[in-house]
Amino acid sequence: MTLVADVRRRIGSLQLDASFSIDKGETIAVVGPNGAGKTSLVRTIAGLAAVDEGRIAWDEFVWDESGSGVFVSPERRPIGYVFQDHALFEHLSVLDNVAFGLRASGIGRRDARTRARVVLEIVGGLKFEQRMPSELSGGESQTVAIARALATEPKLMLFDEPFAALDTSARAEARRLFVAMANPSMSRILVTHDAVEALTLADRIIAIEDGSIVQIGTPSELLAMPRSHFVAEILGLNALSGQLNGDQLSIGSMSLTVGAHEALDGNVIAIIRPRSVSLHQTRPEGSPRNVWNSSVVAVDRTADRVRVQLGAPLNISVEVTPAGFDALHTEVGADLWASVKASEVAVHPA
Amino acid sequence: MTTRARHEQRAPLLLAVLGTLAVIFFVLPLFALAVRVPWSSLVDVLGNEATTEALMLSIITSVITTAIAVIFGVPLAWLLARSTMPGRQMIRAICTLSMVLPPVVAGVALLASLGRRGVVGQLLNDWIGLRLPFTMPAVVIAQLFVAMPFLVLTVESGFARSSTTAEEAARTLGASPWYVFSRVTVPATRSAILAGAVLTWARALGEFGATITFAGNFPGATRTLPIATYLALETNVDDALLISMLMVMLSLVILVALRGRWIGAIGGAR
Amino acid sequence: MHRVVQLLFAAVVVAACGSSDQRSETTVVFAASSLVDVLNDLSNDDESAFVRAVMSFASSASLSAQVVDGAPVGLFVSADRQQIDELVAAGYGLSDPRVVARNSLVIAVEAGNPLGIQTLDDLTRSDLLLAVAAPGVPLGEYSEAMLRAADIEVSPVTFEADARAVLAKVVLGEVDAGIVYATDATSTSDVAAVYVPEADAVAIEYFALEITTTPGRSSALLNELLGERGQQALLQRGFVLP
Repeated sequence: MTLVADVRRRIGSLQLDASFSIDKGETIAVVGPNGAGKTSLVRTIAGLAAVDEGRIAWDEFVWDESGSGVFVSPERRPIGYVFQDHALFEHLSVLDNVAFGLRASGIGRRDARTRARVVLEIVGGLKFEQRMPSELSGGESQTVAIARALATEPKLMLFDEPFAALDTSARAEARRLFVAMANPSMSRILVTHDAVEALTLADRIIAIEDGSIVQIGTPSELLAMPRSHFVAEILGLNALSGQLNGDQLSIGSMSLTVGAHEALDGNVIAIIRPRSVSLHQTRPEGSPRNVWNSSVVAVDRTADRVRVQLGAPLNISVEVTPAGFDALHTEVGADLWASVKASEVAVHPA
Repeated sequence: MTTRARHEQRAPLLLAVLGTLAVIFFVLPLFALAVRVPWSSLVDVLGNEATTEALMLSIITSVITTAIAVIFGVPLAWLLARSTMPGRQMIRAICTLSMVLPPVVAGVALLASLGRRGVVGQLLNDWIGLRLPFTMPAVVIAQLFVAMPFLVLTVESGFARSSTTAEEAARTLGASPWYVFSRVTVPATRSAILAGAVLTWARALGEFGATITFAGNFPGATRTLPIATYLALETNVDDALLISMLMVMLSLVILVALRGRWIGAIGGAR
Repeated sequence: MHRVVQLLFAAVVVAACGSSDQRSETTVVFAASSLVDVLNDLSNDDESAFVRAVMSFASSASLSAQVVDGAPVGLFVSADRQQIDELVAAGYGLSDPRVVARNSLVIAVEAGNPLGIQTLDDLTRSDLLLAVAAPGVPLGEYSEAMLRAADIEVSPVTFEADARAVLAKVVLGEVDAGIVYATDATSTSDVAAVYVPEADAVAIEYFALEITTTPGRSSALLNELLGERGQQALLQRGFVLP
């Protein structure tokens, strides 16, 4: 264990109560709906707020302990923090933003800039080192925020919704950077309300609701046994663990063809959205390459949609319109055919 | 043509009329002053040693006042805006009271505290033989007392408006509180500090009542330009008008120059 | 109800007539600051003509400037001959200027005179802080004339704008001595007045001038000042009679 946290803190009407630990080099996602206390949790770990009760320790160093009154201020904790709005220093160039932490620790301007350039090069930000923050795109600004936090070589990186403010293309790039910067000597906490991000980017997930942890586990553990509404929502996305080999994905006895992806062969998580699966009475002809025969396990009908739970060989939820469902003339226990386009099967490194 | 006009914000008639009247109200006295000034004797008055001495004294003391106001006023503004010390409202009210006090009363208050018989002044006089009234430092103290609140209020609102996230980011990057203040907070409120400094300087330059009460009037030491103007009004009205015009122009040039460069950033596009 | 309205109406009419009557009798008096106590004494006396006067006090120079700028003045009492001469020359005088009172210079010191100041020469003592009026204002000019005539050179710490400011510095203890008018020194018990023979060298006279623009009842006021009641009031406030 590296970070051991037992955080109890009152923020307005929210009672935060979370105990967990993080290993060296591990990436943990903190997921939960807006207002669940995710940001408050990482702010407390960073030392931007103190626990009311509890204890936060890093290895043998106590950072915050209500009993003894010990409190290590944020500047003395070996952390990096990537803020949701990036919080760049508007009056400093990109290079000096990245060099800031080094300068603050007493390193001379020239040395700090040299080291900042190295970090910027790693994250691909060297090309705009002379620009001011106001001249950056959202993605570039986030790259700088990450470089700035990395420059001080933190042992624990905290990311607060780092991808939320980015447009689609910048988000893909930012996720690539997040995956690439994984480092066995640096632990990471990623705050997100996006289930896919949590499932695909983290080693373990902390699901938090109303300030309390409802579940901690690996992505596959959470998927196998969801214990909260929010985790169930994740399940609603049909996240499946499997092995990738080229464009072929094996899930149990099933084999699916997947679309363009960046995951390497081996263990991956595949995401299939319920609406992207089609149901048919008879084997469909034509383009979809992924067609399989299954059975209806459960049907959940509401006014505007019908959720059909399919059984072996692929346990997934499918969402269809009530009219479409009626046209199938099917019921629980009956057989039917399912199909999904290869481009609708998204894979992410596990 | 019409589309362009539609895109421009047009002032409602009433606002335009009232605003224009306000402008006239400010411009008229200056215009009248400019008309009545006997410009022909400008060279004489400028060549008058007493006038240039007062002008120099005014510039020197108002600049020193501004510098001291920044050194003490910015920390005070920070405490008022950011700290959670008890009685903040009360402290703010007391620290800015001298803005609304009649300046002569401010001068009497300074005499009561720092004068030869003053609460503190008496001790200073007895212990180290320091006598403040009728000296140049007294001029600076009088100016500081009435002008510093302009800086404190302006900078405080600057601190209150600026986001604290950048400061938190700096903390997480290992910056000490002082480093955060000097390298992040101050640069972020730079324009408010400059605006406050300019207001303070302008008020200090024009300060009369507190100065003549606390510092008296001695050529070269405490006779500032406003005091020289007031006394000239008793003897030579033409000279007084010329000196006033001198002050008006000096202030105008500096206010316009600074407003364009720095203060425009406040509240406008940043 | 009807009666009440009638009564109110009558009251308003009477008040309106009264105020218009008063306005027609009101005369504006401009006077040098040092006369403030005397003229206020008079205006508090029900039998005095000054009851109906509106009075404004300031330095003779600024009052004179206001007369030229068209202020509706009936009587102007100046501490400075020069201002009066200029107004007369410019045709503002309704009659010849009259001397209504005289004043003299004294040294104002802290009550009890702890430093034992007795003569004008004492003002040259190096341990002593002295305030005088600024050159240019009448008191400053008189003070300078007195010191010059006595051939005494002093080094004041401040040149104040008027007699009251000099006096205030003495009262507050910021200076040890100040040269003021005798009338100012007697106006407060916080200071003591030291009379010096050298003061006789300067003649300080108050001139009254009826102004042509809006004389009103200025003659009655002038006559009162020169008469028994006025002279008595002036004496009480430390003035010397002409």
